[in-house]
Amino acid sequence: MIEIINIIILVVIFLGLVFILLDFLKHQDIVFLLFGQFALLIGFICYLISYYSGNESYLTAYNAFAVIVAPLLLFVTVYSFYDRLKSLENRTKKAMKK
Amino acid sequence: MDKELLKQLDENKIILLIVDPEHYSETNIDILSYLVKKGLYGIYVTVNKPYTALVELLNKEKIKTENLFFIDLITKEFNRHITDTQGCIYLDSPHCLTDLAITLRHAVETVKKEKFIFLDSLSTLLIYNKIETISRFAHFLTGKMRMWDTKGIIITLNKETDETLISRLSQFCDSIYHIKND
Repeated sequence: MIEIINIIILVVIFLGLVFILLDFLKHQDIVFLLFGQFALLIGFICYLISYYSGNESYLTAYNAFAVIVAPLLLFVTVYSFYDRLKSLENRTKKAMKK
Repeated sequence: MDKELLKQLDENKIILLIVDPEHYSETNIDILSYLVKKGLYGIYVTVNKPYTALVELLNKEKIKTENLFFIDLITKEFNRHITDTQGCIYLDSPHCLTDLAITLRHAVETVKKEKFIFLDSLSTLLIYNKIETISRFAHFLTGKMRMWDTKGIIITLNKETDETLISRLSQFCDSIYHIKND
């Protein structure tokens, strides 16, 4: 059961990564970045729930990934989302100045 | 320009124009010319022609572009390194509908005078996005246009636009006007 939960966590986090990569590589809609953030956040919350439900002994690469990589990526994407929003605002205002 | 269309432009807030391909350029120019001459500020969303080609065409037709702000969704598809210019912002691609909505909001908030939003064209957006996405976007956009109190002109090509989409759009727009071959 624990292994299944861990795999689900990993899949959700992986989905988050795919959305973020799509955003960076293919210049997709800003909303992809948001999907990525949600997936990472859900993955991380699932991990915490799983950990506090007695999954603490399951120390593998999955856990290391969920604990270190997911929050780090989450921070980076939240920042880049905010940055992109701000940049759109500034670019519009700058382009409209005549 | 058709008197009936002028009447529709004056009387209605949001108009969906279904144009035959033969009349597409001529209709665009006529409407823009009419609204600009009326002294309205225009926010032109271009998915069909790149900004440079569009400005060239407008200059040829002696339409002043000082009161127009362009949101170009197509140029970056071919030239990733292009940077924004005075009067135009280049968005990444026609997929970026959220970016478009954000940019439109900032543009509308910056202009204080009476304005219009010109979307050229919905049929080209359909090449890049699913019909469901465009339907939702059109609903969102028309709602926002009413909230911002701006005039909205949405152009789409006849034959290239799904009947289902047109019937959905008819609920969001104040008027639908067909420009056909006689």
